[in-house]
Amino acid sequence: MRDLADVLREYVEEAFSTAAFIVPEELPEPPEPADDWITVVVDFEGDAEGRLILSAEPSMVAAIAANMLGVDEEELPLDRQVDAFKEMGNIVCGNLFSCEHFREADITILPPIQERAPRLRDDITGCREARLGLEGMIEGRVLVILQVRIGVPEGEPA
Amino acid sequence: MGLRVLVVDDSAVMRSMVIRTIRLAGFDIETILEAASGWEAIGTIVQEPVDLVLLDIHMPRMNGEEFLRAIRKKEEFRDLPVLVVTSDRQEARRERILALGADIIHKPFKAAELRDKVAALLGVTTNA
Repeated sequence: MRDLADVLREYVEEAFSTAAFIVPEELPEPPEPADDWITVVVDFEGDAEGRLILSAEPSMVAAIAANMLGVDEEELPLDRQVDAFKEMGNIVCGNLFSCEHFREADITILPPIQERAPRLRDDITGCREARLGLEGMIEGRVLVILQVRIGVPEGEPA
Repeated sequence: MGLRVLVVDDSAVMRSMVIRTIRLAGFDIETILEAASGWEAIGTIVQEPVDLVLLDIHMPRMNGEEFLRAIRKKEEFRDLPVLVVTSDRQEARRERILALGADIIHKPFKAAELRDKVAALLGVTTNA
């Protein structure tokens, strides 16, 4: 079975390139988001629980939205840009659950929401975590975090 | 007479993406209607006939699967072409959707994929 970080990289790159025509390069280290970065989170529940976090420079979010919608960045108000970024999170999350780690799992994806900063869920224990930093040549940087617990941890009732 | 298409998705961004793609695909389109939930979509199709529904799955106020189950109970919508546009790739979900007589395309999709799926559902060709 592939490493979770490799799976995450594959699905994020596919979503960015197919839905937003952005082909980002992986950064050697995940970036540290600045205060003006835009963050969306997608929580999921069921046989696997956790959170997918996308946090990006405003220029990256604007580029994603403009490319997804086929309009100029200047035409898009910030809330519309954030909506497109949320949809990107939704796409990545939905696609992730087709990989071998989740194949038999029954998972419910909750609607994406905007957060002030990337923050892991603290209501679940025994999680695995994968972090990924990507950079578009002109679009800017994005941090992707997957926090996931697959199955019921030892010692807890099923 | 052009096609009447209903696009159902709670994300306005996704509706815009799908509408843009379907317009660029070269179909002879008369009208594109929009709905943000399965509930709203049912209200639309009982009032205005449509030739095709492009349907999201995860939506509040009646999700896509519930919408499909509801319309398939009605004689007039039993054969209405429905293409489910979703990022949800769970196999059990896919089987349930196919059993309800709809086809599926996964997000992110390529424009040509959407065009080919729609053409096959409607039995038409495009000008693209």
